[in-house]
Amino acid sequence: MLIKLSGARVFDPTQNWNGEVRDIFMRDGRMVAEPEPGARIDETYSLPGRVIMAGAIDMHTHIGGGKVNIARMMLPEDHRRDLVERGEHTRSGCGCAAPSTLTAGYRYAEMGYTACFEPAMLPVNARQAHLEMGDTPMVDKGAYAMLGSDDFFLRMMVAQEDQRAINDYVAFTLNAAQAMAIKVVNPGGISAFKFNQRSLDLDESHVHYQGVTPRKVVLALARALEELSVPHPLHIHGCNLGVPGNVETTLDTIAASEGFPIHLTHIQFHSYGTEGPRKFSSGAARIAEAINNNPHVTADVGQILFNQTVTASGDSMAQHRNAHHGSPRKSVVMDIECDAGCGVVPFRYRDKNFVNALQWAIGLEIFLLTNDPWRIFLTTDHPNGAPFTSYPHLIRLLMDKPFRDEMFARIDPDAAALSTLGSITREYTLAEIAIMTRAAPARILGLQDCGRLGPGASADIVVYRDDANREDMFTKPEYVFKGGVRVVKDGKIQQVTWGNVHVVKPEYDRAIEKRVSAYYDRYQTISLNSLRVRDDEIPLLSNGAELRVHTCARHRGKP
Amino acid sequence: MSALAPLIFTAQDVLPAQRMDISALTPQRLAGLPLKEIMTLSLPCGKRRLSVADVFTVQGEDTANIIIKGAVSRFDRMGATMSEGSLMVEGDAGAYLGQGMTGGLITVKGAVGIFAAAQMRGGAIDISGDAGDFLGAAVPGEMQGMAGGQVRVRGNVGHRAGDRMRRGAILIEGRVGDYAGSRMLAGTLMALKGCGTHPGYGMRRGTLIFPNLNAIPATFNGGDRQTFGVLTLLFRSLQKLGGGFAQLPTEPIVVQRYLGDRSGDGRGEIIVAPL
Repeated sequence: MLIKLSGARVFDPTQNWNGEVRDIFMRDGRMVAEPEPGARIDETYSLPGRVIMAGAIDMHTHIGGGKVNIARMMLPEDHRRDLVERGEHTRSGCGCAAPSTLTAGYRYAEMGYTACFEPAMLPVNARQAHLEMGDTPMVDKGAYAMLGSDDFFLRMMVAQEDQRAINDYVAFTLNAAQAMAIKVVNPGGISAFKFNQRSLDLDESHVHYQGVTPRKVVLALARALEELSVPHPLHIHGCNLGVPGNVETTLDTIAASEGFPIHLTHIQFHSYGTEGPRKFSSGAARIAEAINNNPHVTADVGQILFNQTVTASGDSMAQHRNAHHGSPRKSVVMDIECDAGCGVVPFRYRDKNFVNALQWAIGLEIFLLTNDPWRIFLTTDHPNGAPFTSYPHLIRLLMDKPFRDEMFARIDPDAAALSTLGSITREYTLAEIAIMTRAAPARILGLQDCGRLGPGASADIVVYRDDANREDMFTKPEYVFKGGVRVVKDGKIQQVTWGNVHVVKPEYDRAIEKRVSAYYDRYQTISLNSLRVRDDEIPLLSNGAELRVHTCARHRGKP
Repeated sequence: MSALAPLIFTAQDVLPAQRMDISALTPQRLAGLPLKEIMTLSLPCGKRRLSVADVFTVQGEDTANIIIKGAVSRFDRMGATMSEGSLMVEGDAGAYLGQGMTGGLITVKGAVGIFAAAQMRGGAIDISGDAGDFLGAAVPGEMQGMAGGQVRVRGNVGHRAGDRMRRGAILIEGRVGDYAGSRMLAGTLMALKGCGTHPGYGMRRGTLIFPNLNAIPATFNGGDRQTFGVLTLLFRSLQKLGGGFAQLPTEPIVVQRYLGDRSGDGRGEIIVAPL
């Protein structure tokens, strides 16, 4: 069935389509080139005055894995205050900061998102994470496996094992957990916390795994992913999250990568200086400069927005530090299987609070001072900075200088005085939004058929009304197509689909499995065979989702 | 006084088997609505929605003065978030009666279910029969239970009354169950006929008043005999409630005061007074 979308302004940076009016075509779930004249077109949508982009991709959103469930359990009030009744096509659900899986999927699709990536899947929790993502309808899914604070890896580091062995372990983990990438959270620090270290600087040694420093962990993992040609570079949640002065740590972390590609996640939380009367200031300019000057570095922002939310992180060290700021005042900080941690602290960001207001300004400064939209991504680190439903508001802040100024005028004046935000005139264009929410995440993740509209791509298409109020525009697309199926009309679900599961499967020397298996038999609660998520399980875990395996052939080399 | 006739909802003889949420029937939510519109209001019932007309016959007009009649013990959340006026239940009420109410008066002629007055913020509730568990408590997940207003129960009360209570008064003429005032933050809970086991479990601050204790909780200290002027003032102010409260002593009396829960913040008190 050939469908034509006609007369809209189309944005696809990969095709160099920057908003010219053009017709696009899809057939059987794929984008196709303009057919020969005379070909039978089964359905035509006349869309003058509309804006078309590929389906958006959220490359860092906590929608699965153990900690989201803990947040759900801990915050029944979040669910009571946001009840969603079942609709004609949708099932009931609830929750704003930690929505139920179904509600999360529907809401993502209703905003024009067609792919979401869970950034913190502990390998030993992989099956549960896949089940949870599998229950998230509409969108494509993938997850990043967490390494760096697990005992097996830290022992390898202490033994100064050969990089090839580490590569094998990393590749084995990606395969066993059905993951898309590797994330490291507070490198080594989650483990150090359990040995009573309350901070771990980039060059500070773990007290138990003597000589292991976050710098070495980052380098070993970044190098492993590069040598395995995994498309997504190491996804780094650095040391000292939220600590004033951590801008130095973040700059040092960039240096520590020694040119291997890295992705710095929720970098807003890692861009704080110690200047000013309250010893808390913006490091955004230095961070943006570093990103601009280091082409091997990408980052997502982790913008905060003022409202109630919940922070859920594997960084139990940081969450333990922040637990007393919780609002409502409750929290969970726990170990997971002796291999990682987890901290969940509900939080209310307030615009009249000096620190929160400055965090807000820092995030926006990073967005606006980073020149290359291909290397900076739009995230709120859902739900840590704000629920993902606030993305349209964030897009308006980036695209609308008068609106931004209006919001800026409302924040705590002491924080405003320390921020350069008021003097930044840049406004993001639609083309740049299309890059940072579509084309760039697809490129950095190595998704071959998402985030673009050229022939061969999956027909994930969003049709927006070109509303001067960008928040309204991005809140409620007129149509969303997922794999060629019209799933949303006027911001409401029309048909429920289940998306695909994206993974990478780098090759490795199977000898490592014997070692890991022996280790699991001796120390872990489950055997390696139980940990491993098999390919044929994915459709069962994920409501019939297909496994999309992405190639690990692209070798970037050191810049 | 208003000359208008009270708005009377009489439940039909045959009622749905599911529980029903009738929190829509409060003075402030019905204010200004003509009877025709009131009849079409939808009420959640199990997984369905029914209209008022499906369940009630309605007469009268004064939306500030509502009466609910019939076998309505399966009807939950009566008077929830109510802020003004009067709601009278002539019969038993379901769960969550007056949840989060901020003002006005709820009178129940019969008994009420669990979580009555949960997170109540103001106003008054008068229950003639018994009350279920978690009276004036916090529903799961909330950090504070009842935080204002006054609840009077003429019968007995279930377990965990005043759980996480923050402010206000729960006044019970009968007996209160186990764990009265558990995790209490502040406020006053009084039961004229005593309490079950473990009163004040985990309480931080607040006052529990009973005529006796089966056993002094292990994590409470004190017990010296002393007099408190404030008790005389409190009891005098409660006398106007009548009923069992009319018999409260009005002269200074000697009481025993236990402080706890020492396993928590420990600034709460249990007062054992000859009531």
